[in-house]
Amino acid sequence: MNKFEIVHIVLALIEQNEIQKAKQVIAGKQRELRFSEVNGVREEINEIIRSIIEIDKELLVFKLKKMKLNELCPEVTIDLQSHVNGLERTRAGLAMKKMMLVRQKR
Amino acid sequence: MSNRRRGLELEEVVYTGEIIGGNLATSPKQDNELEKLQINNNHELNMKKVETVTDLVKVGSKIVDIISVREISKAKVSEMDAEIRRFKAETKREVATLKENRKTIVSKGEIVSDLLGKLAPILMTKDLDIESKKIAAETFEKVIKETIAENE
Repeated sequence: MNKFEIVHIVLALIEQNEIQKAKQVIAGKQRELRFSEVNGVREEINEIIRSIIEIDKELLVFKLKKMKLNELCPEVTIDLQSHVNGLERTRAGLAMKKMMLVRQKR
Repeated sequence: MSNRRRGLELEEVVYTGEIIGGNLATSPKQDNELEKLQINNNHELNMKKVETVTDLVKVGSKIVDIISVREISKAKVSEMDAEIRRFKAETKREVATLKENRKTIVSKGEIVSDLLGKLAPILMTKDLDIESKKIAAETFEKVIKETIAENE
């Protein structure tokens, strides 16, 4: 075995070691990337859920107030359907977005 | 014969012997053979040089491979870092938008709730006739719609 063959073997070992190290580092980064994706999606879903809860609360409060007014004076009607429709539209949009994010998370 | 004498004789042999390379005159045949030998030697030397250069190239290419593995992994890592940063920024922006929208929803809800709360005592007033109450309700409805539109 001449000295070039020895150098060749040593370099092959160094290359293997380098490849191994690179694989480990990339695998770690991939885990970090996946983690940040999952965390981001989770954070967005939580915000959407909070918004949906808030909309549901608004709709309920509005319904109760309207019932109260109707009880106080049945002859008077107050039409705020556009407001209700707007809230329901926003809610549906948020629910759709949440579904998409849940699918993305899987 | 003493050792001293033997030594002197040996010295004599050395001194009186044929001088190596002293007889430089060679025959053409010998010249030819010498030339052949020289050519062979040169060829062998050149072959050895080629082998060494080939080995050196191999070693060089291995070193390049090692460096390229390192560079590729570095590039991949920085690419993934950029992706992580982009994803975090996107999430931050999206969450901020959602929070802003929620604030608007809450503030609109508070306005509606507040105005409906103010309408209640008017509707409870026994002195007011139905027509006035209807006008009051319509006015409140209008105000609510305008306020909501302003907050859109």
